[in-house]
Amino acid sequence: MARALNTLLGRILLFVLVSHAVLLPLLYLTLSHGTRVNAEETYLDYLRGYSRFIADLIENQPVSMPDSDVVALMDSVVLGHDGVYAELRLPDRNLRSSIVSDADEQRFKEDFAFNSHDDEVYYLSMPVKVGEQEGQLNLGFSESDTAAEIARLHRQILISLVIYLLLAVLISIAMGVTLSRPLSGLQKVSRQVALGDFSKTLDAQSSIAEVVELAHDLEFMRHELVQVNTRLKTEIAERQVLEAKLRHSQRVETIGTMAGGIAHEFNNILVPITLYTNVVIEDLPEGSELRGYLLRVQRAARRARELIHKILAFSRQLEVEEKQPEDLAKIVREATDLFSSLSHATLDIEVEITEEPCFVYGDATMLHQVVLNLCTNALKAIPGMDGRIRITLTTETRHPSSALQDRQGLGASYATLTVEDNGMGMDAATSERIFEPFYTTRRVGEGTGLGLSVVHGIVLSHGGDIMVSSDLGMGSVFTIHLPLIPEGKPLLEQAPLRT
Amino acid sequence: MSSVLIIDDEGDVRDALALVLGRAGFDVQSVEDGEAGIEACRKGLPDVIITDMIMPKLDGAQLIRQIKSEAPDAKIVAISGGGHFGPAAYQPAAITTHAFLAAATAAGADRVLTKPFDAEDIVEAVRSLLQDSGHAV
Repeated sequence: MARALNTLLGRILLFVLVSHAVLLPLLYLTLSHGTRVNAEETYLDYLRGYSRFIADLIENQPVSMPDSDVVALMDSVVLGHDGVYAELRLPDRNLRSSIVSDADEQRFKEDFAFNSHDDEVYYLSMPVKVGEQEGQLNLGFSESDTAAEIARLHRQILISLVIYLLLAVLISIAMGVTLSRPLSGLQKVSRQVALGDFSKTLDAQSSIAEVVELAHDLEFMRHELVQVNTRLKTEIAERQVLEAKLRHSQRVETIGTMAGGIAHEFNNILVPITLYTNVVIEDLPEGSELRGYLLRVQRAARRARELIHKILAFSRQLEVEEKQPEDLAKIVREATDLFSSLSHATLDIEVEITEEPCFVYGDATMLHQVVLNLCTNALKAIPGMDGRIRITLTTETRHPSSALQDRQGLGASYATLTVEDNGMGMDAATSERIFEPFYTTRRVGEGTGLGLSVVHGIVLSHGGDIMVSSDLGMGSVFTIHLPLIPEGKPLLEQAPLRT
Repeated sequence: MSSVLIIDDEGDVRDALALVLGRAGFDVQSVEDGEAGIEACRKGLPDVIITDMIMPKLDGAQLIRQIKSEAPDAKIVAISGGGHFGPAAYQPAAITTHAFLAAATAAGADRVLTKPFDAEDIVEAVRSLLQDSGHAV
């Protein structure tokens, strides 16, 4: 019940019923009183006029009316109209209608009010002068017709008011339904939208301005939701791709590091094996049994060398094969976006990327890793909460690094990527060793000390260089230079190498 | 007799190279790191320097640059087991033998050799360098 009252329709109905419960009885009382008074007055005026006419008829005779005429006149009063009683009282005699019985004489009372004494008779008394005598004309009229008329009018008023009430209820129901139908339609669709079904538009079939505006606003909200949702989905998908790339590059890095480490150790071990074997073979006479055995050692060592070459070729293939023209600006933007979304909100990350074309020949996954590792390193250098990391990417035609100028055929255009933090910085001794493997200033468990070494390795393998400038307590700036290529095609192919 | 300086942090490699080159008739001296190598060069520049690329303190590329800047005529053979360029065990796989060769050449090495190699390979490398510079072999 309470729930029904809390609907729009319930409230309108309640309002209509409550207001009419007060209004209608009041209206009925006022109307019925008015009609009753009006009907009574009309009737009584008529009766007074009629009585006056009878009195005048008796008074204005040139000669006094004979008694029999007076009685006949009284009879006509009783017979005509609504008369029920008529008499003329004179001091010496009483001339009464012959139709009225003696018993009726008692009925004349001082009943000069309409509809009183329960006798349905209205009595009227009037002084009459008959010749020299003062008389009194007493008349009685039936009230019943007028009373019935009044009752009829009252019934009509009551019926009209009831019809009015029914109409008001019906109209309010219609109004409630008209108002609430578009609203409940909106609500139904909004709920679907909330549950993730964006296919339906929020539209109200209504002419009420507020409802139309509400529908318009809700539709605007839905539209925004759809857009935000699409954008979020795209971002999630992009991030998943980036994360997959990152995982892949980490796997590749692990394989590469292992393969490289194994190769390095084994190649070094094979040097004395090969050389001492060479020496002894040289000293042994041709065809000797021992020389034969040592030749087999030598062959085995060569096989081992071939195997290591294959391992290296494999691990190299994992990476070098993926080099292609890449938009460095896009890579930096993606990596910093990923970093921003993964780091806490109080970190102030500022990214400034050149509008110039910024294509390099390289591996997107590894370059992603360079940016991510530098950003992560910067973040770890920031002790407090109000850290700031500034990443810029610019292009320039020459930079002062002698290391790069030593290399030939790399062209004169470079991209410069800087990652600047306001962290704790480092002293000169640390700066010098920062790219060494397993070198870390962090406690055990906080970092492997490989991150910047990996960055160093990747940058070098892309023909670039990396520098760091830092002041203790003032933060650090890492600067990377990478050779640019004309958009869409590699300027620099890997030079054929001797092995 | 032509002199050869061997710079390698691996004792076994150093000794084996010293034996091979000694038997080939060279006056061989060997040291175990880059700083000692530069020190030895300053005392008297050998005819040929053989250096590893991956060593503690001073890596091969730095060493080659340093020697070439002090003695532009120095003849240098760079050797490496590949796998890594720069300090040991940290480079991603992209920095393999190729990168080592490129880095050594860029730094100014006259010959490059991948470990392991046969005795005749290293002797041949040293002899060809000596011929280039007009030494009697």
